[in-house]
Amino acid sequence: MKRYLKNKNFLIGFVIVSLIVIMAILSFFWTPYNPNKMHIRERLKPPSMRHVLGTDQYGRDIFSRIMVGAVNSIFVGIVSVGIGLLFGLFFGAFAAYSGGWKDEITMRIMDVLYGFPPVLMAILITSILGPGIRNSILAIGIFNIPVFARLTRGSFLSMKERDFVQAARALGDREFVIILKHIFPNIISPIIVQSATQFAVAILAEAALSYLGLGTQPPNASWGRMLKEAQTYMRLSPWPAIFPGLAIGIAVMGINMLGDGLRDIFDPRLSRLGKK
Amino acid sequence: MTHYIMRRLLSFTLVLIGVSIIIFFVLHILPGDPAQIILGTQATPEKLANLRHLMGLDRPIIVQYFDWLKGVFTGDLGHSISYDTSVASLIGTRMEVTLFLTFFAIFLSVIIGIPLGIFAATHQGTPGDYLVMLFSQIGIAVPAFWTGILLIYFFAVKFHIFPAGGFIPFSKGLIPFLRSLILPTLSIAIVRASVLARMSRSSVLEVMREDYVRTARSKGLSERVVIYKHVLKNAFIPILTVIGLQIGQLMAGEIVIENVFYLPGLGQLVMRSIGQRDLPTVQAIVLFIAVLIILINLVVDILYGYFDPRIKYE
Repeated sequence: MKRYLKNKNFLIGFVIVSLIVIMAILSFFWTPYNPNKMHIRERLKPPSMRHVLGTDQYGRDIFSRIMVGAVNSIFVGIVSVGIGLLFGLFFGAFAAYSGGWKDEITMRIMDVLYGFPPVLMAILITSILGPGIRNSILAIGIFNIPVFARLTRGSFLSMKERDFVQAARALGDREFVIILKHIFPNIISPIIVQSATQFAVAILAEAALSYLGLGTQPPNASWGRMLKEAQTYMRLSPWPAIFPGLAIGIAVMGINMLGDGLRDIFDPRLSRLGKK
Repeated sequence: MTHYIMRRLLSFTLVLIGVSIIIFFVLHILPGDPAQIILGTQATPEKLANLRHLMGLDRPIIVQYFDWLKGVFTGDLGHSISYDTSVASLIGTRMEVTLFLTFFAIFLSVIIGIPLGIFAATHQGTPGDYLVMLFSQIGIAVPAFWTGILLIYFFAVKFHIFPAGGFIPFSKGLIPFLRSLILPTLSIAIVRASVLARMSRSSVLEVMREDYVRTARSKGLSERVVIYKHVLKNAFIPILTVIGLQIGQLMAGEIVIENVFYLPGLGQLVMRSIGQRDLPTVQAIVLFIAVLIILINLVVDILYGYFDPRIKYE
């Protein structure tokens, strides 16, 4: 616990991420205004006591929409990292354990998938399935699979021949038990750190997809979508184009710091080398 | 070196085949009928059957794949439904913007990111180092398209220094051409330079802790010689790796940035094609961008072999 409290990156990251999560949970029960309700008379107002972050082109409260947008970003992050973890862990472990041509083929398929940035994959998927949050999650999730597969494979390979694993094998433990009881607990730290990184990547990718009109659809609030709409009215008021971008930046920075902090805590050797 | 290049070319070909399979099969295996998507829900069964036949969708999928692949190799990327012209010629007219933007963005991120990273590493723990790290922390966290929007606001809307969008071709003059690309290039380069600065810093720091650097210092060599002759030479390979890995993200970022700045490049074309349900164009552009990413990575791979002779013998 002391190690966690002493790590500045972890602490700042943890506070930022907690605030965003609290804001997202709170939005289910309360927002200052109805995030989708239009008040044309109140359109494009600058920040004030009445609307802390101002209003957009339809007079909707920006702060309320940022609160609801946080739910969207967290949801996309969790599900897409979940998809990456589920399939990535499986394929990575499969490749490391099988070796030979099965390993080779699995990892070459991962190489090909890794060559598709989420935006490109989303373009491909949405061109046939249509835009929407489900399809953008699918695209980001597919991009996450090779990331986790490579990491898992590397970690598994380095653990597979360790003495304590050999000892467990000599004692007659089944391979499945060895993986679950001996290998997995030892490779979980880098996977947690990578999950944080991919979570941040997912938030950025979702924002980009929503900006392009491929992700969250109107009138639902998404940080990327809010930026798209705000750009058109930037000459009249810059505020709607500033705050959603700040929200994305702060969220991603918080998650990155949390990930950096966790990495330093799990593997203090790396922190001496600076940020990897 | 020839053997190394041949091996790289073989793996390049394998990845290319993989990419072509994914692009083709995603469009054909996902639920949804391309003919229906193009014609809309109001289309009559006759019209649908007609278009399916015209697009060759009524043939076995493997035959369709090889036909498509044959077309790709002979430069026939299909026919654009919305523009009523060949996709290859469409890509040809839009390529100028995308290629220049890619080149400028890589160039700018390298000349900003690497020196900043080296500076931070050689001044570790100083305010300068913290400042660089702060820049890179922020640069990595903010989306490039938001940076683009802010740049438009300040440099175009508020101070009228650069155009807010649009593209002026090179043939209309160098200065207007550069002016039209400066803000989009900056939006991408700021993010990519941040990543490069961070990675360069850590790879230089790593090399600075090696025994041979300590030896060089203990021989009494000046810090300048140690850094330029011993550290940077060896830190360059991991930095090159990062540049290679950045290409995919950079090209994807460009699709968004072209839409922010209304640049008539491939990114804008692909988005319009999605809107107009022009599947052959979408398919061809995704393939083109994916191939470009793999091709640039191949060049980076071959450069590794050139800069680090050890890699060739692995």
